[in-house]
Amino acid sequence: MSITIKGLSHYYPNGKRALTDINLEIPSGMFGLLGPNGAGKSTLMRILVTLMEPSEGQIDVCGYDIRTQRKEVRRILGYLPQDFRFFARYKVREFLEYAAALSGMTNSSERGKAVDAMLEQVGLYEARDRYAQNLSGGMKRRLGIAQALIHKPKVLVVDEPTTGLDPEERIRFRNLLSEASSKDTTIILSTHIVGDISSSCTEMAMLNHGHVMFRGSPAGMLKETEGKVWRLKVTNEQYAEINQKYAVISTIPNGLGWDIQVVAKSIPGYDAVSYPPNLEHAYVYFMEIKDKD
Amino acid sequence: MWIGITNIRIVSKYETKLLVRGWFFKVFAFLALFAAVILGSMYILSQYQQPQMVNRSVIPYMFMLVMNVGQAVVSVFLASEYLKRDKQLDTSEIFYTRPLSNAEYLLGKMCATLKVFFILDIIVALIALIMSLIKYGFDLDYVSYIWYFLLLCVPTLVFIVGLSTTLMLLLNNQAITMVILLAYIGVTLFYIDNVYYYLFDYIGFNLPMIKSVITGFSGLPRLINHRLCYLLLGIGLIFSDVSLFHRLANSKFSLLPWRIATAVFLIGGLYAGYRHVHLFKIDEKYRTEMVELDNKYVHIGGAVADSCMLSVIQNGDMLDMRAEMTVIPKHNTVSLVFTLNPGFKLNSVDAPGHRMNCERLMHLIVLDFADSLSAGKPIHLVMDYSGMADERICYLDISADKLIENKKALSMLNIGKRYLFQDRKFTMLTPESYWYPRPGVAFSDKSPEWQISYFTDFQINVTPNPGLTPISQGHCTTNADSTSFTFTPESSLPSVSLLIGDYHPKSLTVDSTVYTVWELGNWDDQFEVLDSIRDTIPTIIRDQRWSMEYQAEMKYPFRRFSFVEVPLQFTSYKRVWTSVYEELQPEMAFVRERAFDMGRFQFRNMKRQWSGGRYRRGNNNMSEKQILINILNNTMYFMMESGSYSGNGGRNGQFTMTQVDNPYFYRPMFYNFRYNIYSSDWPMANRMVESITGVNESGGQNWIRRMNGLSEDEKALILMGKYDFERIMSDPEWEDIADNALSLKTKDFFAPISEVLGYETLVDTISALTRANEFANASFDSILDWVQSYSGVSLQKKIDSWDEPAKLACYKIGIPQITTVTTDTADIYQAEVTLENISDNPGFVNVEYVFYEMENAGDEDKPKSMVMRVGAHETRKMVTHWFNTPSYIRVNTMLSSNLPHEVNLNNSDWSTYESTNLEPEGVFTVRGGVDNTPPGEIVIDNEDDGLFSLSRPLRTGYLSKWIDKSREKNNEFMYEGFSDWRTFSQWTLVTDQNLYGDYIRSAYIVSPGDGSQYARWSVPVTVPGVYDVYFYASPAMYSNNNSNRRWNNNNNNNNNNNGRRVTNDYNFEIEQFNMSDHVSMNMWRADEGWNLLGTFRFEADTVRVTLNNRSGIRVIVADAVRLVKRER
Repeated sequence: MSITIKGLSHYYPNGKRALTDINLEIPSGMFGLLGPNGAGKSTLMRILVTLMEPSEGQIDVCGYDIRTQRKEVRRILGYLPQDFRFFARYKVREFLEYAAALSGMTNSSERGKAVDAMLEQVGLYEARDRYAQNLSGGMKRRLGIAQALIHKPKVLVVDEPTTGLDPEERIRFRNLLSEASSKDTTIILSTHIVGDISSSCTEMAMLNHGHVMFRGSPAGMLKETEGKVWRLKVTNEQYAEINQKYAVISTIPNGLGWDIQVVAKSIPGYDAVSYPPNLEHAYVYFMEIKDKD
Repeated sequence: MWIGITNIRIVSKYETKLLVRGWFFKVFAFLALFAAVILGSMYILSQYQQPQMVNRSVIPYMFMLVMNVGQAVVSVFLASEYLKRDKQLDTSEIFYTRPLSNAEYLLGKMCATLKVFFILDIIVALIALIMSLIKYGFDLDYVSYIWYFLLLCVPTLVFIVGLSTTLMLLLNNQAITMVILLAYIGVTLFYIDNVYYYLFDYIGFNLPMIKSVITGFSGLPRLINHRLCYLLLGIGLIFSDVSLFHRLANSKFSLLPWRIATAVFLIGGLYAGYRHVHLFKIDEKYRTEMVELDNKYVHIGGAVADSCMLSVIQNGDMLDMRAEMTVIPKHNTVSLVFTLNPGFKLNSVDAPGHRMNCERLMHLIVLDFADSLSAGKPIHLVMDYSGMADERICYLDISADKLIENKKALSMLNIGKRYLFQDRKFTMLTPESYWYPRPGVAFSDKSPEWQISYFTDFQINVTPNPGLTPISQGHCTTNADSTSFTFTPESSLPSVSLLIGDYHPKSLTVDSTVYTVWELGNWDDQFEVLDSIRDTIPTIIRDQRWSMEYQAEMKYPFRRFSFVEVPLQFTSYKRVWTSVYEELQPEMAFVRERAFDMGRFQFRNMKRQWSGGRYRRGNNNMSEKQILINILNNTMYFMMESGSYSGNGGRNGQFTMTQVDNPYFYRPMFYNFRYNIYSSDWPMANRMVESITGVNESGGQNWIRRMNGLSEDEKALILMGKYDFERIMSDPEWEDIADNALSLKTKDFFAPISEVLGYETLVDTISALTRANEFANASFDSILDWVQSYSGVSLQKKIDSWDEPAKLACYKIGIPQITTVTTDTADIYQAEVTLENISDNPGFVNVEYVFYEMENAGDEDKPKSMVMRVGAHETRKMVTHWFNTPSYIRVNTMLSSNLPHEVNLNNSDWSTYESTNLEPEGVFTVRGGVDNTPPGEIVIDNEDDGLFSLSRPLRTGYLSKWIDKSREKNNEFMYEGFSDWRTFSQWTLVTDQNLYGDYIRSAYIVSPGDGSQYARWSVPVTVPGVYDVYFYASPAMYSNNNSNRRWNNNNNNNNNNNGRRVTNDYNFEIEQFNMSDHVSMNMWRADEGWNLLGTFRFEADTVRVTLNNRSGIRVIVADAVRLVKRER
């Protein structure tokens, strides 16, 4: 396993518990970390990239203990933080060069070549002499992934990378990650956007309230959700009743009432038809139903 | 090694880009470079060059100092800025996850900050260098550029960067960090000042750093120690940041070495700080111990050195010396005490036939004799001593605060203070250094015995280091190979000095006196300027000498006179007990290197200035030769000036003037090095005689008193009325007016004799007695005895009460009367001056009849100055006859509480009569007092308690109140100065001879305003009737004798603050029984003295006259009102 997390808990100074007894094994490849805002994803990410020290537990990153061997961990790590908007007054190429140099790429000519190649790869070569601060949101994010990948890290941690991107940039970004994951790199993709996971991750975990709700593959998550998604036609009064009892995930007006989709173990008393789940249904199932169980 | 240089370099490289791109740094860099160019233009390229610019270290010092102060402030912003930026920027975290250590990251950032400032420093230094090259060519002090960078810029920056980042990390708030640091900078720059000997001056703003070309920096080890303190503290603080930085360290133990390093550097810095203070403390303690020792021995073994033959062998840095002395005990004694610089080791003391047992106690040598020595019986002693002179013995009478006080050049450059020099290449030992044994102690605050210095026959033999030339007093002879020099003064001297250096003389003999300039460097460039008047120089010297001798009324007593170049750090202090400054020695004056502080000696600059500017414009026809002659005359004249005035600005435009002595004033050369009037009971005897026989300088007193509120004499009188005389003479706070106190005391002391003989005869008599004892020690008692027997007046009472606080008399001065008496032969003008002493203390007044030039025909030989005794509550009249009317009569009330202490009574104000009877001349006691107020008149002055009142000040703010309160507390002398540019927001008490008053001519003044401030006279009317109401006006107070201004303003009205038109009127309300009349008076048209406000009918009750401050005139003067009853 690339990363092993055992018994990880974290408390903030105010006593608030951010993570509780997390146990995870993360293999090579793209690993999705799904969860709503406030689930503890970012805390877990920041612990993984050595920005925070965990309150309890052990983390082994490619054989290095994250508490005692931070330097080694940092050497094999690439990190793209959730917010990546505000830059110091560096030009695009300078910024990437600085990041590369600090990652141990001390030979300036080699570093220069690598930087140019990476800028080509992320489509920023033409913008290399622009100040990073002046790039668009998508370009900034690409510059972010470029700095995270420039030193060919073994572990890449990306926190909510597609938030706020337009669909085109989002697809482009996912492709960049997929490309990176094919090079024996462990990529941890933290997101609350289900589409990011479904399109690129083979393994995943779901976090809510600091707990792991699910650990497995997206297919396994779908499997667990089979028979829990329902489709039915209802009147206005029925809709009001169902909306109070169950997780309604889709409503379409049909002239007489509503065609709705509901995630629930069963809907007694209604003429509900079982419906094949997708990952979004599964996400709702785990958040709304399983978490409450 | 736990840090990687590569990572530091990387971080530094990219952080530098950020700093340089920041607008803050760009603005600062631009301003710094702009300031450098402006400074350069001002001081270097300007035609009017400051004399200090002659020193090659001044430019780099000035540039680096200005730069350093600026960057000390700016670096605070920049150093804390990057930590703030780290907090704000998302991108910082991606660098935190890189494998570099905290130390590498932080040190990289610090290096970037330091680098950009250091580069800027170097650029500024290069600008300074380029400008210096333009100005001076290649003759520069190149090393000083490195010194100032290392001493000023490096420690300051390292410290402030360390401090600001540490504070930022601790407080985690840039705004608070800024406020604290800027407050710290402000406090250290403007408030803490010399606390703990400038320990807190991290910028180095107050440290003495001007570098002498002769001796380099002064106190370099201490300077380095001080700077090291901040460098180490700065490094320690920077290292502490590694531990405080909010990022997880690479490993658990990686911070430990940094914590240890932090502790080591902080402790090192603190130790250096402690050492800085400790060294000064040790010096102070040493000086205190010396004084204690002096106090213990001040009364033991008093003696006079009759002769002293000194032999000096310079041996590298060290001096091996021998003093062969003939000493005469003043009393029968078994012990003799000598003072010798404590740095010198006393090797032996021999008396004829045997080696003496002696005790060396710090700076004292105590010799105990088996048999009692008889008073007046000479004893021969030989003392061998050697070593390095210790500077701490110098100026034991000067307070520690004064010693560490800054001495600045060009208002910002600090000059180190040195009193002696001794090294292989240059040695300077003045009498203050006690380089040869002198009988008695160095200083005592218990007895003034030590102040007396006696004449001694000196001979000095000097063997200097090869290539060096010694300078001392007397005729110099050398041995065959010029390795040994012997100086033989033609007469006894009070002291001798010794200088050894690479001196080169430029000599000129005029009328058998040898004039020499002893240069340490090469002054040819300065003297070449005078080549074209070379033939005229002897004449100029002769003329100047004649002027000096004429003014001194004495001949120059020596056969040679030299200007000797000495290091610029050489410093002297004013002493209360002597008028001699150390700059002046018998036969010689010390000029600081290349005339650093005397532009007049820089002939090249003078020529450029005088040939160009205003001087030439007004003298277009003047030839170059004439200009050079004038320059040289001006240079020579500097010894004729007794001093100058220096102004100090204060709050609300308050401005005080202090008199600054010219240490080169010729007088000691003519008097102090020639005469010694000594008295064991009267240590001030010599100064008293000097004072009474010296040039009487009363000029400048009037405008000084106007600026300061009181003249120096008046201040001295106020103190003399409160404190005993010894306290006034010994308190450093009053040293500026000690001379005045002494002069007043002396004149009062001799006043009974002056009354009998006349002041001029007294002076002539004492001068003659003094001159009979040239180059010899003369007893004051014998002079006193002679004068007393000659005049028949005993001064015993004065002697007995010498040290007591003065009993000040108080006089009402009558309006003088001049009666034209027509006789058979001519018209005689009979002048009568009447004074009433209204105090319980008898006193003397000096009445001087002053005639403008050519108006005293017929009275040329008649004494014009007379002393008159006026007993307690006695009224006396002085009657004199003149062929012309005196222009004015100057009445000096001597020891009195009159203000002003001296008044000029102009003849335009006198009462004039005609008569055929001539009263006899003389001083007569008359009945009744002086009453300048005729019967039926009522005068109320501002000094009349209960009858005069003022409005309360408008200020209500706490700060204003506090400021006013503290001002009141500091005003020892109650009366304030008056100047054109000062505003008076509240009624302020001033005195002036143009004001009204019985014995204190004072008034309250206030600036014009909206009329809310007022002064009120409550006049008790006892007889009902019709009265003329007058107001006492003093146009001189607001016209400043400036007729143009007066007339220009005459018809112009002004606008007040509210934009309303106001006039030059004073506005009065005259009120009785709630009936009020408004009266305006145009003050530009008012006469000096009483001006009629109007005629009113009053009942027998109080009349209130109120003057408010609504006016457009410069100042409202509330002085006196007068009511004159009209006869029916």
